[in-house]
Amino acid sequence: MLTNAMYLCATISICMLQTIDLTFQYKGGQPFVFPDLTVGAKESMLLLGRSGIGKTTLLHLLGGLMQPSKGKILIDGADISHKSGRDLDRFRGKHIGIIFQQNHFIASLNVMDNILLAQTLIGDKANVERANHLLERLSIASKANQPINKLSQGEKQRVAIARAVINKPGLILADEPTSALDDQNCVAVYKLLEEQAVEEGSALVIVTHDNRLKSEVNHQIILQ
Amino acid sequence: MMQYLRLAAKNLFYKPLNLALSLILFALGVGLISFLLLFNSQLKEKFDANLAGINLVIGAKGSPLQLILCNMYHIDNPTGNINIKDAKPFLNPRHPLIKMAVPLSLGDNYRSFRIVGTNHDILKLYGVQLGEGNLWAKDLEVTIGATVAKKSGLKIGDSFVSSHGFDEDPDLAHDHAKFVVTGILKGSGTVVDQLILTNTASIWEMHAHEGGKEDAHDHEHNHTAADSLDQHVHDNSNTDLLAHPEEQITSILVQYKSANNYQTLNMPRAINENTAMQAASPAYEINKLYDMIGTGTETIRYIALLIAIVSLISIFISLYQSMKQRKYELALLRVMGSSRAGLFFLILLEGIGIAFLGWLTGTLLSHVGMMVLGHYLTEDFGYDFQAWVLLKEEWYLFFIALGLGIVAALVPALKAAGTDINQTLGEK
Repeated sequence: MLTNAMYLCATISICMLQTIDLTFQYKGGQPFVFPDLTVGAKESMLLLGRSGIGKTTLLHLLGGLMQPSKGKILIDGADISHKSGRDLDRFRGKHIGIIFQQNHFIASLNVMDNILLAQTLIGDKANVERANHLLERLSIASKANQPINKLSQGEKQRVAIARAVINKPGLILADEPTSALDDQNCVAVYKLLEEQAVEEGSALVIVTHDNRLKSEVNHQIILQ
Repeated sequence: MMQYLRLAAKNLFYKPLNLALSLILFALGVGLISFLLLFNSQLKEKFDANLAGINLVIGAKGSPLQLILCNMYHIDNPTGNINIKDAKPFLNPRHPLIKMAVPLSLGDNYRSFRIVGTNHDILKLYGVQLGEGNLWAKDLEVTIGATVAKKSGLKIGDSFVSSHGFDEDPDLAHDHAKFVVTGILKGSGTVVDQLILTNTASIWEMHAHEGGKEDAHDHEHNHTAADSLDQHVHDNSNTDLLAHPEEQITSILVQYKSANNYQTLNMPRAINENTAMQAASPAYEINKLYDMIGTGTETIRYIALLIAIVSLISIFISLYQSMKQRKYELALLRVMGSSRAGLFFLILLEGIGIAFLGWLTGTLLSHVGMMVLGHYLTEDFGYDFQAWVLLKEEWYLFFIALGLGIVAALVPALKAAGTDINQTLGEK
């Protein structure tokens, strides 16, 4: 595995995500030992595996939502395994965009404000122009000023994607983005995600057990 | 910071009914307390402004509080009249203990403004100055207070017919004689603003034409008022009163030469025990009145406190519940880069927001209430109350309110800061 990672990194010009020796152990539980991962800018990777194998744990580790027991996580060259507190919060907000299986929003804000919040929360100025551009790219520009809960699930997912990429993150994480969709929409959503990763120069990691995606993405890691 | 403020405001107004419930309770507590502050301070102000260095009021026997309220605050009826021959020693300018003795004769009004027969010393007593024209000199000449001038529209040179008693009643008009305005006083914030001042003889004049009293008159007063204007001049001094021992006045306002003198301390008791008159101390009676009002306001204060505590609990529950309902939102904020401190701050701001809006609403309510009550007080008693002044106590109330908001929000805010992202997001 280590050799595989080294090989990949040598061939990719910009290494956006790299994990080395990643281990996580819940209190009193069996340790999860994860394979080393390497994803370049504008590249996609599938993280597959059956339930309970640690997919969500890995997602939270990569997303900077918890700290590994051992090992390194490099995102855009920065090691987040040693970051904590405010430092990690800020880094997460700026460099990692996460799309959850069930997307939550701030109910009191409209579509535009939900997206802009991702900018203002990390202390950046709200860039309405960029948000509009993203909404247009995702074909939901007409919904910009609607209350978020007036949108359909599909529209909400697009808003979640816009929110995840607004800060031009090095890493886009998607958790089961297609599991609730039919075949046609499944591919469409993947294409949409891939498109955003390419546009923003991000690495895209999709955590899923959706076999339909296997034919779309070459780079696959199966957790065992 | 700004983003949290904006978010807190949006969150508050997102559930308007929840907000309204918390607000109404909080505003009620704040409003009641603020109203009490406003009312008490102005009442005290009015009472204090009119104490005017008066040490003693001498009048007919009856309730001492009524004597004070009638003759100093002009909001109650007289206890009766006293005979000048009984009051002689106190009207004597050479009385060893008395610096100033101001006789008052009540009984008439013009459009509910009391006409008071007195001498020029009353202006010294209350510190009132002449605004325009002249002070009353001859019979039936009047000098009117600033409020009287403003509300009645009377001007110098105008004449009017008074009516008997203290309430406006055209049936009781004294249409046999007219008062003439010779001067208008400057506003002083004291009760004099709403009085019509004239000499004592003018009051006698008015009532000389009624009933058997006419028989008692055996000198110049026993003719028509029109004649008296030309023929007889009372010089407004107490000496002039002493020349008419058979006449009556309502009371005497007394200022001592020295209030702490042993003899002056004994004077009220001496009057009460040895004469047909009574003497009442304004400071003592007003303090008794404060005590009576105090019991009432204290009860209201406890009720306000109770409401404040209930509203505190309501804000706490409302924040706590909304925080639990929004746990995904809070986890999401963390994902998007908020720190724990950020979430703590957000919920705290929501608590402070409710408190601020509650304070604002409550303060507004209390001032509107004061305006309404002030209107009735002005109608009934002639006293002006200011509804739109902001007391410094109300600013204290502002900070106390914000403090309460913080206290109510503290536990929910701590809970929010402790949100476990992994667990919350893992629940799905």
